[in-house]
Amino acid sequence: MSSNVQALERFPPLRVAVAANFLMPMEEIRRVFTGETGIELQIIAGSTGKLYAQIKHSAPFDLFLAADTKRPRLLFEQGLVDKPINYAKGMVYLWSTEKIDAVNWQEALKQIRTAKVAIPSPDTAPYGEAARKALHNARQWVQIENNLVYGQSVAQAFQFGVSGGVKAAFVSASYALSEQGRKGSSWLVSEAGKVNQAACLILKSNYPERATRFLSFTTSMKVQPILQRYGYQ
Amino acid sequence: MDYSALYISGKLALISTALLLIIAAPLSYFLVHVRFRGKFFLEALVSVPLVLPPTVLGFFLLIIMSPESLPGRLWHTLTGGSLLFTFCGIVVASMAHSLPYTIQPLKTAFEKIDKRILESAMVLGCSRFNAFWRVALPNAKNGIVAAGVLTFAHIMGEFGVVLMVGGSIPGETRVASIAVYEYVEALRYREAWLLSGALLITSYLVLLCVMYLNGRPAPHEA
Repeated sequence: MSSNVQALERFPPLRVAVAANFLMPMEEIRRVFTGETGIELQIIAGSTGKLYAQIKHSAPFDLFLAADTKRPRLLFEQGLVDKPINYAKGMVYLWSTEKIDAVNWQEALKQIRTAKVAIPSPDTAPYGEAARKALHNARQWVQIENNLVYGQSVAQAFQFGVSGGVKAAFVSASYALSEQGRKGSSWLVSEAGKVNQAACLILKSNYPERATRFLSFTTSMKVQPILQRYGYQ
Repeated sequence: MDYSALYISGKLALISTALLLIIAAPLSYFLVHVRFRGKFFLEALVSVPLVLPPTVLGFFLLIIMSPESLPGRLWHTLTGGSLLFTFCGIVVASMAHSLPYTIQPLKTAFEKIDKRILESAMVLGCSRFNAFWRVALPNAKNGIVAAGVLTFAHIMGEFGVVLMVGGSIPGETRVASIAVYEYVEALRYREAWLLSGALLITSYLVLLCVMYLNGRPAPHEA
């Protein structure tokens, strides 16, 4: 076993492009996976849209864990990646930095109406797109549009809240339920629906075997407890 | 903490500064001493990166370096790789962005040299190249060092252009300024503080260095 691990360590780490919402579970999955296989991973986090553009421009990644199914499918249609597989289903939350007494997210929005609210940019971040859809469906968009502040990714929208720049933010469950997130309050935005997240192997990868091994690991039962802890299904 | 980011920044700044000095020294000398029609336009062109938003420059470079473009294809035939998202790519990008920061101090240094000593050298049989190489360059020493230090500092703080063509790949194109941005986004403030502190100290030392060099008289004045 130890010689096996040494043999693998000679390879450079696998480069995994990860949608920002999945960064925290990804760090935990990396620890388990590297501990078990000796394969090192390098994580590059960003908005799904940005990572998609980089992969289209032949960025040297081995794997792409997106926050939607649309962009992996587009890459697949362009012949850049192997067939995508779904690895997680996430949910959108409205999260506020303060403890607010409200029964649901619309109620909470009414209470913080005049303050700034962060949303991940709908063009590059699937969670932002889902949040916008929910705001439209709930007929809240027009009232709130002028108060919205756009983050490049879920991570940035959340960070705007933590640093005190905004009073609330639309984020993924992974952030709303994180240690930092639980200091405030959060409400499920059911109108946004579930956010299906797909992963794919990038065909240009120099280490397709090891990358495939990681891909099957992320969809195995072993990572289910980690996914559940961060509010994924 | 990701120490590799500081290392990448330092390596990027050193290599790009060295290459820029080699290109910019003759170019600045040319701009100071050679008169021709339309020189004005060339001078403005050289300074464009000074006022252009880094994202605009980054966008142009992204298009130019893309594997589908002609320069991108040329590079691919020469090296077998892509320029985008590689260390070589960010060297090219930061050179393009920092060119005016190297040219300006060099031009000032060459302008400060007494024309008579260059003329004397040529009267005594020096070729134009030798006048540049053996008379102008040694006399512009302080200016060259100042240009180098200023360029180095500017590249250490490079962000937008490198982010667009480099894509923040750890150990390859993730420079310190991008690492700070990502640490803040990931709420890892401790690491952000450490890296920012290191960058603040470097910047301050660099400025001290430039001010010291500018305050010192050039050799031929002493």
